[in-house]
Amino acid sequence: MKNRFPPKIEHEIGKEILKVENVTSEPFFRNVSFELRKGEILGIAGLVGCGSSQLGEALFGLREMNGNMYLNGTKIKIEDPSDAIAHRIFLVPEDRHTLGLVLQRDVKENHSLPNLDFLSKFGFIKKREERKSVMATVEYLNTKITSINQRVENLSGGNQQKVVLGKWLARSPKILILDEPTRGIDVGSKYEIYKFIYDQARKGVSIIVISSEMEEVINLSDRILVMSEGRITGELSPQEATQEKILALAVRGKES
Amino acid sequence: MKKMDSTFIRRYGVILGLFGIIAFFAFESPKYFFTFSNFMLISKQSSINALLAIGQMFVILTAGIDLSVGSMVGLSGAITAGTIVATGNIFIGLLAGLGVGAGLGAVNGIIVSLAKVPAFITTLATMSAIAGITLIYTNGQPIWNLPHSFMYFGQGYLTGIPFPVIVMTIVFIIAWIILALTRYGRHVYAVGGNIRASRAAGIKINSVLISVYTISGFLAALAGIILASRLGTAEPTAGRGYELDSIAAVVLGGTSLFGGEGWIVGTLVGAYIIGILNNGMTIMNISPYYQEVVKGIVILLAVMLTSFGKKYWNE
Repeated sequence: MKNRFPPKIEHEIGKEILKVENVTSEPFFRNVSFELRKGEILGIAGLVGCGSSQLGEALFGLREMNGNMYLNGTKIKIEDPSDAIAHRIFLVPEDRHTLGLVLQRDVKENHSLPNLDFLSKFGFIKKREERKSVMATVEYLNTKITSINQRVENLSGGNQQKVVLGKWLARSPKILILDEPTRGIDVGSKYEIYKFIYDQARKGVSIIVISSEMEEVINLSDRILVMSEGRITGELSPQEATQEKILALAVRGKES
Repeated sequence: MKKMDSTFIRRYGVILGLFGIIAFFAFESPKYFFTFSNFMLISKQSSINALLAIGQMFVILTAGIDLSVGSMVGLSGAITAGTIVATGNIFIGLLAGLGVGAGLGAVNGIIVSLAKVPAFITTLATMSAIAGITLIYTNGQPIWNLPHSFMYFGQGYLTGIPFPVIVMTIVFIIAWIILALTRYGRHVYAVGGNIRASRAAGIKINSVLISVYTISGFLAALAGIILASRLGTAEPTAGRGYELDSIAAVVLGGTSLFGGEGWIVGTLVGAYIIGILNNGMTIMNISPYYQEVVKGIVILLAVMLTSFGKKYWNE
């Protein structure tokens, strides 16, 4: 069988773009601080329930949170997803059915949902441009659909996930927060999503990959944070990271 | 083989039903039923329900429901009539009636979205409260003495077509355009389909919810004005029970009560089916008591057929 992970693509890691300082959202996580660089793939590893998913949601404005966030050195306040979207910070949520997709609508409408501001004029949808935008994303992600009018509930998990990813591509993301990006999808789609992550990093997008699959975090990331019980318990480079080391950090604080 | 979409049966099932009912009455009573003047009569009789159903559809698309539209018909008719009698100015009267309808609709939307009270409870409460306000405002007495020119809205004709039918047609076309072609329409469907995913797509959920109830209230007021004009008086209990016919029309038209799915042509057809049933059964001399029963059974059958068809096509 061929490799489950595509060959790593060299990408340049630039200066700091996002700084998160002492953010807390009880009872999920507290005093979390980290920074993210341009073009960096930052892995956040941890066991299910460690608070990393909620951290991702809070950074995107879906959850109330205290603490400071700086984007390119400027303090920003994100209270609603629309604020995050305005800063070009996007979330691909863990549960695509509840947070990512409108299942009974079609591929085209799901794709355009957050993008209608520039895909419409005087409130009317620019059908031709919408179609172009959807087709470009579908081709780039190699999403398997019969037509862009297919209902997303009839797509496989992998293709549904590509629709969720695709929603944000039209807005040229600055920061992508991917929460369990490959959960419940087939091996082929997983491989393509990994390729997508590398390609985005190469283009200078900063990516946070939240995952409980340690192999995934080790293979993808440029740097790995480990969370346990709502705190960051350690930072590892991919060279030094092993499943054992991550696991040791991921259960820290659980013993008592 | 290409997989059949359930949208197909949802959409065209109701139209088949419409043809079936038309064929039935045309066969039973060709002399009276199948005439142009009877078609205009049916359109006129369906127009009030169609207006309510179009507003109701916006609400149901967001997975809500508006039970207050019937009471809203009564109150806005009364306010319009009362204002016209008091000021002698029809224009101010219309403005007052429509304003009250839209305003109270917005109140429904604010309670549903900001206070997060379920739509069913919210509009059940406002249905009762608004009916009460109408009784207080009218003192339980019909308002008449309306100027003759006011009767035009309900009784007038424009190029041979009843004015209410023209209003209904214009509202229908605007609503169709909004739902099919605009950004706002997409938001309505999305919010009803998945409210959390819509929020995560940056949509301002609360404004969408408030707006659909406002639309429903506004159209209920428009229906109330036409009704008062047609009757020539504003009855304090006008519009009672109309909410049920409007919901029936929307559901007959294939709109999902769970939100996110529906075709506005279906809603108009649904309103016509109810209108044709009323008309046809009256022509056939069926007792009004039985008419209610038949209507109930037809609605139930239609919805069962739709869900059966959906299952069938999906398998």
